[in-house]
Amino acid sequence: MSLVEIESLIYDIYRGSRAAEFKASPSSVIEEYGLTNNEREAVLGQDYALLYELGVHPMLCMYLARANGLTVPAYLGLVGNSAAKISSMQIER
Amino acid sequence: MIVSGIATVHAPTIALSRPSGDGISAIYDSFELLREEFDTTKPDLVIVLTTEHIVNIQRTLVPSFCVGMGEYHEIVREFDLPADKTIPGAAEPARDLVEYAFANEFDVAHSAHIKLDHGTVIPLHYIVPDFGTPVMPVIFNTVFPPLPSLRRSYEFGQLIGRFIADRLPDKRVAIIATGGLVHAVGQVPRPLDYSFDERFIMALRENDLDGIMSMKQSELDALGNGTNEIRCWLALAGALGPSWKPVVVTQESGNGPHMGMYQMKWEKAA
Repeated sequence: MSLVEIESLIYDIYRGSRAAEFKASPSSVIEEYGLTNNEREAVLGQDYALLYELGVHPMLCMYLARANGLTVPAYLGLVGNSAAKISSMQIER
Repeated sequence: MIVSGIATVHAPTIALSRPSGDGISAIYDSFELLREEFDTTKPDLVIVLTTEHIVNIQRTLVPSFCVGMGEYHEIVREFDLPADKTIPGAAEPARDLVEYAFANEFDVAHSAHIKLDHGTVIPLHYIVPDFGTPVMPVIFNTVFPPLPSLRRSYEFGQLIGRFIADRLPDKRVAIIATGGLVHAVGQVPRPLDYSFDERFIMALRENDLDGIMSMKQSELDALGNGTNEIRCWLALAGALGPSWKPVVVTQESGNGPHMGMYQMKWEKAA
């Protein structure tokens, strides 16, 4: 779990100057950060809900979604639906 | 001396030019009043007590309070902010404030390069003509826990008030606190207790802030992460002290997401 690394990556994409570079070649930018395989897949797969679950700051999860072209309501829909699924799975258990 | 005290929401849903249609409106009317206040009180220094949106602070280094000592401030490229412009700084009084804080048992952080985002620039855009007045930004850590307590935030405001009285008796200082009341930013949507907004406004009106300042962080967390921004409002109340009274309150009830959209102006009691 490399929370600080994921957050640094998102910061550099959204607040720094790496947005175009990330858009052109996301996997090569990600390689420069110390992410685990799961984390790398979550970023590349735009799995905001998983990043959120991992503890990435909600603001940064939203920033990554914006950098990927999502609107805020669309992002909130994704993390909201996922949270609802997780909580219903917990109830089923 | 303090000539003006203003607290305002800074939601990025506030456009830089007033949109037509059925959206939010009260805030734009209120900004016009606050601009008139600025023209009347003619400040020559603006201290902005502002929040953090992961621009200047990252989890790798987290100051509770950070005074911007730059000669000028860059504007972050986001939304429609005029990122090609800069805002004049107030390096000398900012350095004096930091030294005053150190001499009075308040170890704040300082930065020569604070970047201003919508949280500061939207209010300044509406209130300060052409960004023509020096600005001293003071950033509060409202994002990465552990956060400074509400009481400590208020006390830092009190220190700023004493600093202005002691060290800047001839300067005309406006203090603008920015931030929303109950709201969440980027969090999984869930019902929030919006009645806290009224409780908070009432506490400010009555200058009875003990109950608010005794809240635990877990109680604040239940109100959404954006609600941490009330620290700036409390610091302003601390800076002004009990001789200033809230006289104007705007609550935006137009369309749009609930962002705790309130504004308040204080006046010094005669």
